[in-house]
Amino acid sequence: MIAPRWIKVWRDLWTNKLRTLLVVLSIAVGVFAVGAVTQTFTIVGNELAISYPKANPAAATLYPSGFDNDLVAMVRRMPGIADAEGRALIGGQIQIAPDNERLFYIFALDNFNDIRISKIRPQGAYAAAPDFHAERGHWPPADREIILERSSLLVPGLVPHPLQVGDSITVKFNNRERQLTVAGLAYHPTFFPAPFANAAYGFVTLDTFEWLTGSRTMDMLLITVADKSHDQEHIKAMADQVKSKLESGGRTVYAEVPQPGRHPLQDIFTGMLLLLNLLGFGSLLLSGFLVVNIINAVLAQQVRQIGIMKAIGARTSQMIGMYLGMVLLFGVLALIVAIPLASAVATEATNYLAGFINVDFPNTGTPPELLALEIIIGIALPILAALFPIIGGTRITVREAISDYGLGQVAARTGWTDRLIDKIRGVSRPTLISLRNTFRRKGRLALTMLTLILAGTIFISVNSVHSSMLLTLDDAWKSWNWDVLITFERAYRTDLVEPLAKEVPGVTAVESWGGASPRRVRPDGSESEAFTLFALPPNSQMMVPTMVEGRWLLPDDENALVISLDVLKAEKDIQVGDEIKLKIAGRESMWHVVGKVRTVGSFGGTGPAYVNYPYFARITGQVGRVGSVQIATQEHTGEFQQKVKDELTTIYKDAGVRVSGNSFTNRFFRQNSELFFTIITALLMVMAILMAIVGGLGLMGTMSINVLERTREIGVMRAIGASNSAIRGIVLTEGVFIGLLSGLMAALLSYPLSQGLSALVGEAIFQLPLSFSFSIGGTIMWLIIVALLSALASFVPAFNASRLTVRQVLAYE
Amino acid sequence: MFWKRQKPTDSPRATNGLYQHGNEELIHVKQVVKTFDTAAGKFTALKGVDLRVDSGEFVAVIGKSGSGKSTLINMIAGIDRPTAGEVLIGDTAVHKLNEGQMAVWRGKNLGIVFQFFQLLPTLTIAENIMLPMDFCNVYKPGERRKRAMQLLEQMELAEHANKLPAAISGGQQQRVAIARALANDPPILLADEPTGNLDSKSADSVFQLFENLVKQGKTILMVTHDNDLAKRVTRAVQIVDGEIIETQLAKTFPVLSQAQLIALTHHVDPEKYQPGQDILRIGEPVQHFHVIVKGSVEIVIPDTSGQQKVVVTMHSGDYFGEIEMLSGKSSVATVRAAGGSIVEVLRFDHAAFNAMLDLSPELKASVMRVMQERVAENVAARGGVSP
Repeated sequence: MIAPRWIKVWRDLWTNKLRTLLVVLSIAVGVFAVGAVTQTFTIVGNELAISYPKANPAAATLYPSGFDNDLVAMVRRMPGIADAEGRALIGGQIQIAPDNERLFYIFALDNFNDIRISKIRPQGAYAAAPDFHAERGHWPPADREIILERSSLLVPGLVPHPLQVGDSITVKFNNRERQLTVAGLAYHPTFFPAPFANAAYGFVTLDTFEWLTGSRTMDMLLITVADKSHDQEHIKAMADQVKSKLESGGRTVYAEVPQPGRHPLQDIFTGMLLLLNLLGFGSLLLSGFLVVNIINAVLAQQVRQIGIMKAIGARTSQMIGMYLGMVLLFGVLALIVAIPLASAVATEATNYLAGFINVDFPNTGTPPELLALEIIIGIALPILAALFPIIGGTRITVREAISDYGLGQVAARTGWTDRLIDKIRGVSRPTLISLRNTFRRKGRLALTMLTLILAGTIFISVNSVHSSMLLTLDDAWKSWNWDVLITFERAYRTDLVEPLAKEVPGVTAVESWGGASPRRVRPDGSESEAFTLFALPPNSQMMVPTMVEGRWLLPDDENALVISLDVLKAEKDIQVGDEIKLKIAGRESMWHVVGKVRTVGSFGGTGPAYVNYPYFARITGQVGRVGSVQIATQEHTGEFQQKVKDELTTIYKDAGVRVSGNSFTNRFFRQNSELFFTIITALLMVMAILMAIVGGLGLMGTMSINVLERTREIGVMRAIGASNSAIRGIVLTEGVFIGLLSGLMAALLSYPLSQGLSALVGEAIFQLPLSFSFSIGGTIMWLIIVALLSALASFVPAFNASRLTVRQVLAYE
Repeated sequence: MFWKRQKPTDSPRATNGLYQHGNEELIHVKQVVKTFDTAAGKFTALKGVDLRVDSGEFVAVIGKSGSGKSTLINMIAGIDRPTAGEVLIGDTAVHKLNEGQMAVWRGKNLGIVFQFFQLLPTLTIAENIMLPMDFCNVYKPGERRKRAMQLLEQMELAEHANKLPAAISGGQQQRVAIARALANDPPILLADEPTGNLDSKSADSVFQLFENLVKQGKTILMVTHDNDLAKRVTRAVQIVDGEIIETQLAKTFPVLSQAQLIALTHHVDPEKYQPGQDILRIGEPVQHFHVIVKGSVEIVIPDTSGQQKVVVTMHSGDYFGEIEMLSGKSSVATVRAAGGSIVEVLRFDHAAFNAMLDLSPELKASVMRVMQERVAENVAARGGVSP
């Protein structure tokens, strides 16, 4: 038989359903936030670490221009190289609808049955796109057939819809329109997934590639190393050897050496995990505050009952036990809500991310250690939070407990807030009552304010991170004042490539830039990784730099160098004013660092850095020859830019100018980055909304207890003529006042936090500080939200207060 | 550690409502002062109160609102602690117990009944009664419900056992509260305005219940402002402005104001006499003026044949010794405690007696008149011979 005291605990929970719901939700929000975030990122992190190496990712990818299998065979024979494989990659368009084309990439493979590096596997039935009937497909593709990468089907609009095996698609490469038959699906786990690249892609044979593009040479060389496959420095050295060997043939070769064995997005996920966990624990902290407030409310409500129980023989330790038992029950109920919800959301989020990064995660369940963590948090957090209020509340003496409370409990009003309110003139009496009531219970007010301020600060800061991201993008894109960038496989004469570009309809301006992949020769004689160097014409209109330190290039500058933060990540010692030695095409030269700039986007390597073209051309012996052209177009839409880019590619090809794969439209660049930024912000906003909910719950708890405490007072006000609306008004005004006050304080506090968070996000995710922009819009939005939230949170207590009759209230014991 | 149980020391042990040590005096409040610190300054609610209650007594503490009667009962219940003075219940110095010891001691030795019943609203009637047994672990878990049902039957409320308090009337709730107070079978019941929130019929029923409990050996101390109820108890103690007035003095000297009665109370000395014991002996010097509080005394003088003869029996409210105090002579008669029960008196020494007469000319005239009448009666009883 259950002891009466435990029956009381249970009935108290059951009869105060709203309050129970409030506290259970408060705890559940914290457990959910931590559980969902941790589960998602634990699984993503663990599974990526397991699944990625299985595909034998390339240790390095080099981009030599047009090569064939002989070159691949030569590289394979190089000492220290385990294996090598060549592929062709080209960008074009796919027709989605009669007037709608999207970006489309094709990989050409020499032998589908001997894929050794960055493995591509046939994909059978695909749950994400059952209508496609991938199970009916075949492998390898026949002539004029294409196998689509499965992630192309994940986001609508990248390929025609409906689409299934056997259908025909219309593609356009180098201005040639062709029909390809879809032969099936493949899975390419080591390449950027289609949603991430915002473009679909597929795989064809070299014969089909030639039919599509007119070329059967390859431009992408994947290598793996024989030894020290996890040593990035060793891989770099090997890649450099290959690169040097290939460049000795007159080619310009870009090389990419990712972190060995790690998915390219893994660092980003780790950064996001850190940030979201921070927010998750933030909401946990808020939950704790909320539990303190609600437990205080429960104890205030039960103070007389505590007194009675003590009067009939209950010891303080028994009282503490009872109320801790109640909190334990709250925790258990919260876990019942939070664990399945966190698991479900984490599974959804994991699946979404799995699709987004195109990885199969066979195991998405809640790991047992996380389950244990959730249980510990769900039980320990409320108990810890409630312990002190419970000890304090239950130690009340019988006399204190059974003496009247309600009217006449306020100490002399001597605080500065009271004096300040006393000075307010021209405000109605009920409003003054509301203002004074606000500061009556200063401890409780502080806790509520803290909850709301924390929620508000995080909300505003998250918005500021978002606006900082957009500003960073804007800054970066302001820098890239071109619409299309065409990079050449080797240097060409300016008087050849510029007039050709100007022939293309829609081109309004052309600027030729020199380029190189220099290395820094450090003071100790070692060499840095190669980075991209752009040599700009004086007064370039295609580059509007975002200076971080120092100045931009002046027309008369000779060996002046402006370096991007991206390069500085690896070469941290370089300061503005330093003289540094660069090795460009084997020749060393001294450069004077005059400024640091922020850039976004990379060009197949690290960088860039900028110098003036005339001096660069002189010392490299490339006077009159350039590595790239920057084009401004009449219209700035993605479609128009793509059209111009295609036409430029064709016209150069026809003229025998070899265009490199590192040619982009501005829109393409921006879309990719924006998509990613938006996803991060969406995740941050989810956390911010959780915070807002917790804050609102906290305020509701506080207002309820305030009303409860003042039941008698409300009765007296009623007895002397206060109407329903006056009573409601007093409670609502108090709630909204607390909300707005906290909102203003949050706005003040969020400025430094926003700066810190922006720097943290920048460092964690992009390894660069963001351009800081404080979100005024976010601040106003929070003020509106907090005002509405406070009104909503006070409404129920206000309504309850207005329903009390004088008789009920004055008989209240 | 806060959760560690503390075993109360020197706690009185009760068996069937009687203390084993056999001491009749169960409650002794000694010179208790209680001062509260309020925002408006210090306020003394009890100003050196003395009170003794014997086992089996039914004592009413009466007084106006704010007189200090609830504070006094809080001192006895251990709900509040005296600023100065002592509260002894049986062998236990209640004021020395810490909160933990106090809770255990109170749970086992005191039953408290409140004006507003104070039943826990979420527990059923039976569960409310079982709660003290649960807290104090007095009965085995399996027996608690049976005990609760017995008490409910005693209160004639057994059929309501599974209802919530809100489902029964105020009078019924108060009877449940009494049952709860009796749950651990404590020897003492403290009731603070137990009928204050009840209609007269319910109040009467509750009062009858108390009377029955006193018959069963319980000691009850009840705060009330209902003078009619106060008349039905064994003894009423009146409290005014934090001081106890001897109710008997107020009855005996109705012409005195409350302030005068308080002043007088400070000078009296309570005394008890066993049945048959001489209080004054004829021919011996008299040191005190006496007011009878309880019991009766016989006035014995020698008749004409020299035989000791009871000429008059005095009862509670009567006084004697005024003749000797006023004349300065030896006792004119023997005064003896009448058989059957202990006689309690309030004694005034010469100074106190004179101070009393000085308080009111009216009182002085009244006492003088009584003295003259009694002297005349005495002479007549001796056959015309002056003592």
